[in-house]
Amino acid sequence: MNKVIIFLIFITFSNSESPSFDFSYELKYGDGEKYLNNNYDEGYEFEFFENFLNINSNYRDYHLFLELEFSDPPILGYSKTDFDDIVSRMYLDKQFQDSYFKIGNIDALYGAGLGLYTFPDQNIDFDNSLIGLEYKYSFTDHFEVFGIYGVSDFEQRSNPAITLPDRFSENSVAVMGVNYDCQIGYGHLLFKNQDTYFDSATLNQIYLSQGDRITLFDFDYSERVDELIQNYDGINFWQHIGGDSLNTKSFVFGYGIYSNFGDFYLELEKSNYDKLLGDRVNGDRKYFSYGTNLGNVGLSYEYKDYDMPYDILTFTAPPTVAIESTSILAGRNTHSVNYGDEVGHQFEIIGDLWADIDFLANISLSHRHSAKQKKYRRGTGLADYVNESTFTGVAGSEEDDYLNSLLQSSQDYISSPSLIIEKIESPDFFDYILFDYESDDFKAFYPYRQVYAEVSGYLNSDLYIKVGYDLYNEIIKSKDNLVYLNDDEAISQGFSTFYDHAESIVAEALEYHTSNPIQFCNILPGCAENPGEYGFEQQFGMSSENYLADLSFSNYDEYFLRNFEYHEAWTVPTQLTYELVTGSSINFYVEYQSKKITKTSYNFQNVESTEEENYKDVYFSGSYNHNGFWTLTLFYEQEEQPIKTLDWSGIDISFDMADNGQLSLFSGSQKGGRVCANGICADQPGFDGVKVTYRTFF
Amino acid sequence: MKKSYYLLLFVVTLFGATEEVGTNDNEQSKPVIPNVKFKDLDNKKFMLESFYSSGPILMNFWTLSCEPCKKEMKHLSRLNEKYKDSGFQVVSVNMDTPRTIRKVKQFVNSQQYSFKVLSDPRMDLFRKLGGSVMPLVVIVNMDGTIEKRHIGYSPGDEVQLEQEIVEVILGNNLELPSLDKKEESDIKEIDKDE
Repeated sequence: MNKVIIFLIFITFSNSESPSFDFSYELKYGDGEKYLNNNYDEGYEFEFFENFLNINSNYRDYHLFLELEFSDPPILGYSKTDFDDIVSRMYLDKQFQDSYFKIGNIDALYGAGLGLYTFPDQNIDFDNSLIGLEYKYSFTDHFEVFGIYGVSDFEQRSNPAITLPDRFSENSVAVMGVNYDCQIGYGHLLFKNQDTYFDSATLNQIYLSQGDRITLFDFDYSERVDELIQNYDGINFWQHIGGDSLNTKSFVFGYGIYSNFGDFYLELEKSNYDKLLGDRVNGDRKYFSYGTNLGNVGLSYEYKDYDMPYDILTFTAPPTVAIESTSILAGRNTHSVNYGDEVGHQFEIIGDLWADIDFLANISLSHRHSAKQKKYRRGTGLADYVNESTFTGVAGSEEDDYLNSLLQSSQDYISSPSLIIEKIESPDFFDYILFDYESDDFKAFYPYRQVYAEVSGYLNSDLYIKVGYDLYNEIIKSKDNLVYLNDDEAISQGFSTFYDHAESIVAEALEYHTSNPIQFCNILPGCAENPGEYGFEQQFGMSSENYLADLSFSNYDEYFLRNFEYHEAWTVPTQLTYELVTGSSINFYVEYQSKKITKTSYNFQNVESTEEENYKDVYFSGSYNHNGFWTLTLFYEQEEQPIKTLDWSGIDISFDMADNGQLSLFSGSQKGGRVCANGICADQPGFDGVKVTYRTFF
Repeated sequence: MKKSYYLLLFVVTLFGATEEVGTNDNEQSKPVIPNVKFKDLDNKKFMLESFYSSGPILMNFWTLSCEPCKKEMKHLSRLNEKYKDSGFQVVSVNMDTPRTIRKVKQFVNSQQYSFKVLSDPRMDLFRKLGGSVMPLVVIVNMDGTIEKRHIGYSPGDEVQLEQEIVEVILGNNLELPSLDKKEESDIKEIDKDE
């Protein structure tokens, strides 16, 4: 209904005096096959047709925006063919002298985006904008109040690799706050209240089976669900649950200052929020940045500390604090930020090497706050266990059974280890820089490191070059390790206790048989001399000396079962551009990447296996631009996979049409890849066929 | 399928409506750039009008991840320097979001661009101008009307941009700055090619 109202406003605009209209239109059409997995062994017939018409209209400082979409189907997401769906986004806003007013789709950003950041991105089929109102009022140049109220039926993907959203929530969000800007700094204070409802079908979708649980969120949620399923005996569980309403209250403070020593910015978020199907908890996020220039050299540092486990990211997109690669191949190794549990750093230095040649160096690091592991320790408390045992049997006839039974139960005690959930000592900062991935403890922190360096610039007025080097390391998955250890000291002490106990029992048995020799002992060889030892041998089947000498506990092997996935890659991207004659140019991109994926896992019989996958990728594109009117580009990519080699090739011709238009025709095959915006990612499928892209303003 | 026809009909109607608006006055048919509020990289606030009211402007929209944008900006810096005496200026709009915005100032300072760089992390103006890909260049007259738009950049495009800058300076009844002989002959050469 809201859309209809704004549509009517638009019609009114179009009939009023001299409004300014501005149209932009984008068409994407493709016909061919798409490939959804990395093997490219099974293609699916795929035709997409996306049309976006953006209409911007200005009238006396009012601005009206409408985006009409007709997609049947789009590359990602659901088709929009019904008239009701065609108006995909709209707003009306006005900038007054002291205030600003907006109604419709609200794309909002305050500070670094810890509290509120909503934006659309067609490439990843993402739009977390609120439909509602935004209002700002400036009391002075230094002080402004703002407020937002909006609702949203938000669609998310549980996995970037799927083409359709599978998590749906109904939300209402109210935000109010102030922006300040004075001599001692600038920033904002923001309070947000958010209500979110997940229905039963979505909760079911979020639930992951035991084997698929990866993140802290998944583990925690699945454990809660397991507990609830037990309460319902597993019968119609999801119907009983129905859905879950969550509330989040957040307070955000941002402060920044521009000084002679550099630019500082700090943002803090404190939240009190509901866990999905769980309790209400507290969490916080912190972000800090510093930047300065020393002559022509720029330095920047960013730090993040996100500690809001179980929070489901909806209307915020905190800074990733990770490098955003401009290389085709390196850009595919995108770090998936854990916004609920991650600490990270990023350093960057940029400047002139000489003349028009620049350099850039960047290092990005991140890891989880803490890690635990399950340790199974054998033998701890064995001495106490043995000490608790006393012989209560019939003297002279049951000592052997008692001792054999105690020996066996002590052995069982050792082989049934006690579980200790142990906090793993955090690696230090330099461990993350050096990325000591051989350490099992290190892996448990999901470490990520990316180092990038490049030199670029104009060698002369016609020739531009760029050469880079990217090194990427990340532990993608690290499930609980199983560690079986022997508590050697406890086992040794336990055995000593057992031996002492056995010695005393043996002594008591000897004494008993000495005091109570068997009948006719005096005529039996050996008995008369030592009736105690004779009786012992009859009872135990061996001499007391041999019996004690034979006592021992079996040894158990110690072992460590790991379950992780490690990605490492290095990439060399290069670029060369040469201006041939005034207005024409040639442009080459050549990139090489070597990537190794190591997967280690153990099965239900605790047998560990390790797989290594090696990939080598070469990417080439060469284009010729003729006087800025048309560009012909050839693409070629070859990837050497563990069991086969694949290649993709294509040709593209683009026309820069006079006054505002661009038409691009592509024929061939393209590798799919991950596309990210503000830390939110979606996988574009591989494609083989023809594509047409047309953009124009009118 | 029926609904596709409705869509087509709607689009055609819009085209028709635009044509009608534009027939009264040639200047009026040009869209007007919204007068929005910006901050620069030192957090100082500006209304867009304060830039184009004193002379035509060329606005370029970019982010750090856009390689062609950076190449284009080298040339824009030179053109800004060359034609600033006529009242023309380049106004650069960076659209880096919080994930990269903290590096923008360091990048800009290291490049020593001659033009002003504003920040629009919400991409408000870019979207209001119908932008979807970068770089986007918009040339604006002194009355706020949009004279030209360009999407994308290939080396060599700066030749056409310079010609359009000359045209917009003259079109706004301003004088070209006094150029040395080589620069004058370059401009004549461009005119001849046209």
